[in-house]
Amino acid sequence: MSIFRSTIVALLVFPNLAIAQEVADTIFSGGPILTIDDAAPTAEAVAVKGGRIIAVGALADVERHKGDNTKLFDLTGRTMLHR
Amino acid sequence: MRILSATVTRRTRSGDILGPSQRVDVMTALKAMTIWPAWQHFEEDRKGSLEVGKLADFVILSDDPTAVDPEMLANLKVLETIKEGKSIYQANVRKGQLQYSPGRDTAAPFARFLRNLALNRDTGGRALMGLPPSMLARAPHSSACVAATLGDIMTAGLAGKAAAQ
Repeated sequence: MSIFRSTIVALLVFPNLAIAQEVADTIFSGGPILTIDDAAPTAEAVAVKGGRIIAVGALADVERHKGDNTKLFDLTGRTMLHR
Repeated sequence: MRILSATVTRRTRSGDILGPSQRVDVMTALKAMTIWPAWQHFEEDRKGSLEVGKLADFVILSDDPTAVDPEMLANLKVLETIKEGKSIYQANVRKGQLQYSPGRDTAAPFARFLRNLALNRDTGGRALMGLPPSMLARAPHSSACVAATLGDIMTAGLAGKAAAQ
């Protein structure tokens, strides 16, 4: 019971731990990113793994997916949107 | 970019404004090119916008279409295309073409060598437009100058080889 309870407490305290496991192949950042998603029309960074988007949003949140082999793609001020 | 521009400005190729009442804002025009067609093809769960779980298909533009003057939309350039996380198109990069342009990094020996070589060829060690050679040596040099310098060396090398035979 106490193990069960501590798991719940851990999830409440560190809600990002669960998604932090996935390591991105590439993280795109460094320019305006237009998501075309009304819920969050712009983003600072996008993380990609296996050809799919695994994170979109603030750079600090997306960088949780950065691993040793993650490539950092600098947009150098250019704008990125969906193709 | 012409479609985006025409959707927003209703300006035709010949310059006329066709149906100004049909103008829409840039974000609506972008949706008409992304999320709405994806929806029509039953693909809105994997295409059409940048959301978690969707395909990493991106286009990188020279400027932000939502920030530039609408009259400038037609001038936006596609600089790079990413398909499922991999770059499949880069503007102005052709295979087999010399794209080497030494920057300002004086610590890179090869860049410094090429820069000084090109500078010496172009100015003969003299001041240019009032700028002393020491200052010119720290400025970036265009790939055209560097390519021409390397071309000269190759031509001289081939000529020497022909003379030796």
